[in-house]
Amino acid sequence: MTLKHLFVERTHYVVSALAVFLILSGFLLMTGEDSTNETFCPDIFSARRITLAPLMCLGGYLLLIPAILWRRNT
Amino acid sequence: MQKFRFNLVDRIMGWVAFAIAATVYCLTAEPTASLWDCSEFIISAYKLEIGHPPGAPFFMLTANLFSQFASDPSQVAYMVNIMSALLSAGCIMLLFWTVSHLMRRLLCGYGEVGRMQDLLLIEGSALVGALACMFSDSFWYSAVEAEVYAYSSFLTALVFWLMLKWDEEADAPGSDRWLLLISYFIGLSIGVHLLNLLCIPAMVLVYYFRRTRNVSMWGICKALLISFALLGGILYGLIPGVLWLAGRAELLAVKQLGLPFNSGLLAFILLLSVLIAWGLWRWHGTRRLVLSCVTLILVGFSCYGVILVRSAANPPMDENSPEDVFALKRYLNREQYEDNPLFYGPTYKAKPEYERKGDFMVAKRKEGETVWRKSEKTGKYVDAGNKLEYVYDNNMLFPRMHSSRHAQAYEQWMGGVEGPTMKENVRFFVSYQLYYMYIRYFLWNFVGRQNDIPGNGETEHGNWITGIDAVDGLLLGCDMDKLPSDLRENKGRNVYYALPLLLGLLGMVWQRRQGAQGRAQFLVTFWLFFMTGIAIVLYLNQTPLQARERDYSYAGSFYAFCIWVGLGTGAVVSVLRRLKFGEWSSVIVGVLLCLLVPIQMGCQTWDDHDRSGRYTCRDFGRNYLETAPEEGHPIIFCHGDNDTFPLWYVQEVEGKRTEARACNLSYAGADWYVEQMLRPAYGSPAFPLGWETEDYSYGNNDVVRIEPELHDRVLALYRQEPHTLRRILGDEPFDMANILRHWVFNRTDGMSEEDVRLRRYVKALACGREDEWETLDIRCIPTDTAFAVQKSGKRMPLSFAGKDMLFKSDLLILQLLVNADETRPLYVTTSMNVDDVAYLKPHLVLEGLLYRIAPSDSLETEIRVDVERLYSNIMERFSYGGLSDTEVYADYDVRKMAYGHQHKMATLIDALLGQGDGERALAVVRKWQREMPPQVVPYDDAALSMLRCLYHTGHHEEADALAADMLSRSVEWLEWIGTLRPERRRGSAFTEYRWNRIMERTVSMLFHYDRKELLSTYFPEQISK
Repeated sequence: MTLKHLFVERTHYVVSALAVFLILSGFLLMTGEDSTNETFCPDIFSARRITLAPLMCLGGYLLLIPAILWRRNT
Repeated sequence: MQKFRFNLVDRIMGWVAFAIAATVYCLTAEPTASLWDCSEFIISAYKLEIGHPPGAPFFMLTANLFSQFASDPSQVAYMVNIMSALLSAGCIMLLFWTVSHLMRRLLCGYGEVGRMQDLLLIEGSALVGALACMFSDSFWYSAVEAEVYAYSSFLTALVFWLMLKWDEEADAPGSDRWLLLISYFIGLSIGVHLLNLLCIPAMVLVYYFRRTRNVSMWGICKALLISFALLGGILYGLIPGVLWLAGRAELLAVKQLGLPFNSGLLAFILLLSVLIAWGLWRWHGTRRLVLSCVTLILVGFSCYGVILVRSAANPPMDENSPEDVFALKRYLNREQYEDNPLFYGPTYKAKPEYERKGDFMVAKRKEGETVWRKSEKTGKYVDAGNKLEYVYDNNMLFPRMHSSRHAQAYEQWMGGVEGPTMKENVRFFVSYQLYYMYIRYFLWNFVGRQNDIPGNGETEHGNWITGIDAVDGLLLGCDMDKLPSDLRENKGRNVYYALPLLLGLLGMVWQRRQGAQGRAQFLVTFWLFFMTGIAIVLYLNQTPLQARERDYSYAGSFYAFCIWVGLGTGAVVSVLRRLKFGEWSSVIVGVLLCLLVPIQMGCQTWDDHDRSGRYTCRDFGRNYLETAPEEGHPIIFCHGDNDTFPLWYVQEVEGKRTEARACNLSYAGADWYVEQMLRPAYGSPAFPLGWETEDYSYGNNDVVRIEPELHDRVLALYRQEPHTLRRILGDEPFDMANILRHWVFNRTDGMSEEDVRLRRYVKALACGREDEWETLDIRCIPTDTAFAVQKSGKRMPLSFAGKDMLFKSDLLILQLLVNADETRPLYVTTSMNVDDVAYLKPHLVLEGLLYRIAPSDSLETEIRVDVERLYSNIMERFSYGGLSDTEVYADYDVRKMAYGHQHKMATLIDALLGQGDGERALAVVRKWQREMPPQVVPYDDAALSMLRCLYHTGHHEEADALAADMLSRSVEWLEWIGTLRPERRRGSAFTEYRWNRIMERTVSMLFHYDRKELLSTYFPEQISK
């Protein structure tokens, strides 16, 4: 089996943790004041919520790819 | 030759394929939004709003990145289209590497590429396959618009290629990382489109062939069974299971413990993460690999968080409002759409089973899952009843004719149905679902396509053809020499003389004959082809009369077939070798010959896939909005996809006319949609409905019956007790405001308890059910002729004659008629079927692409025309999407919308001529000719108004030319239809009728304007008499 080479190095964990952190902070940044039945809230389209937040999420998801593929050169 | 050098060449050539595809797709991409769902996807990407179920959160995140490159909002759509173009180009590159990998294995086994001619053959065949896919009809269609299909094809190609990558280094340490990556992409791909899961069987087979020593039939079957279990496990086990558990946790936290919304969900995610971390820490070996794969699928799936978070923000587009875990589960299950039975279920003739309940027979229903709905008021989830499913009496195995709404369509397709018996059932499956809705599309791509007109079995609409007239004449049962020029010149007509099909079949046979490696490859490719094609056909279980052609769903299977097209090069080369060509010359000649096939495809498909210069979706969408005035926050009632999504695009992305509101009536039956109409959006205030949650929530007031026989009884009661009746049912019994208040919503505000009880009794009495009055609060419309009173005191009569019931959407319109009261202008799109809202018909005034609802005092009024507004809209406010450029391609849907505009122009011309205003009528004609020339949108019957105007204003020569054109096209069409085999003519009856009418009307106009000379050239005998 080749399993012993999977996800054992520190690099794997550090990069994955960074990716998950990016994804979670992206979701967090996406939240905020919402529109209600009484008022339309323009803030739901603020740069933080529809530009910065999704870019962080996407960055996190993409970062997981090298985190999975990375291996020490032998 | 060194392996290193092969890899280098292969890599470079793959990128060359990418560059070619990227160039072609970027050149032909639509510069703005496209019709159908594209607008929705662009809005969901740019502003993270929520599109239709099951959503595409990972698409949203990626397309959001691309939208950042737009220099201004009008470029956003183009950027998202470019994303599709680049992903499609990536898909072509992966196809290149897939073919080259398979070919290398066939020629050199696991060894290295030793000979130069092998290298040439490998790269040449990969290029043939890649180019064939790149220029194929369905693939190109999705590559140049903002839909999920390009992305989905890319991910399918990617995971399949990763599996081959794994195959390449399966024995090296760490090779399982490819399996992990595949799992991760499968998880992510759920956030694009579920299609991706369908390549699991092919991938499991790759694994099997690599890992097993002795290939056996039983082993292959076992591998396939495992792959189906995997597929089903993810689709029906893992994802719904996790959501179900999250739902339990959420209920526990919110309902039992009184914590805020989503606290249970978050606690569940935390707990799950801890459990997984513990598992990864403790477990080793295969268990750890499986857990890692499952975890990565879930991590990929976590992109659905975007949907939850953004729906909670209540954006203006928030379809199905999936803002809690229960709503998300319904959203993912696409519960808004009808369920199609797969293995066992009712036929279309099945009736609900009835059972006795007391004195009544009621439809037997099965209770499904509890529907939990969020209640903002109480901060809890409320039980909105169970999902009820009818129990049907007429069930069968593998039901293919299942939709009761399509009874007539099934019978028409089959030419009469007795049972449906199993034999008929299978005949329908084969002749419609398999042949018409899949094989026809397959042949479009690899044999030829008749035209771009959507087909429902007619001879002249969207068939597959070969391009060889003798064969096509036999296939279609007509004389191809007499084919009308309209059909021959249709840009959607693409013919490849079946060459790509033949090359693919050769490749298939050749691959199958290359020993064990070839047989294994064949099975893998076949399962990819089957699962992304015929398996989808089985799953979708489609009814006739689809709204559009569905070839885009099967792009994955056409992709798989292109692998065989590429391998076909190997077959051709081996044939050449057998014909005693030299080693080198057979490879060179073979590759060059095969390259001609995709190049010929490209020459055919370019003109009908080149969407550059086309701005119709944006402009036509804006024309709808621009018809409405800028003051008063107008409300526009619409119905379909193409009269709704383009409007949303203009508002949400380009930020124009956001003070107006489009209200799609086909959603208005759903509580989440009514709720959105009750919210302000941008500058558009909430609808003045005055409805409470229980008035429109799930299951309440979905339909209200109309009871015309109550009319006289209510009047009689008013005569008996005028004072009391006025107090409890309103001054005027049939005033719509009173009907809604007292008969539909049963409002009690401002009434004493005594009066409320009395009202119950009186209503029961009127219905002849006074015995039950205490338990019965009747809801119905007690008349078929009501009226609404406007602020000015004007009465607006409303007739419900011929209708049995009103839907929630009707109640919404009527409530607005009462409440908006001329302060908020109301409009209906002209593309809607006006008979659906027949009670509005006497009150409609044509102003452009919309009818204004303007009260008329009589029910007899025809639809009126506001000539001045129509004129200023058509001449000044509208734009026409760049159709004035004769190079621009107007596909069927664009032409349909353009004809919509032309019909309004024709109405306007007739109205102006009626007023004696020839000058302005001629101005409209000139506008029409300039904006929509016949090379782009051929004239149809609306052009007869243009003809009349030209004669009327004395442009006789020009008019004669137009009349001659209309007459010769009519003659061509009618002559050709005359050559159809009799049994096929019925399908073309409408086309025949249409051209007959055009001919008659042209002739009568020529008589009217005394153009005997022109007539005699067409009808010499009749005229000389």
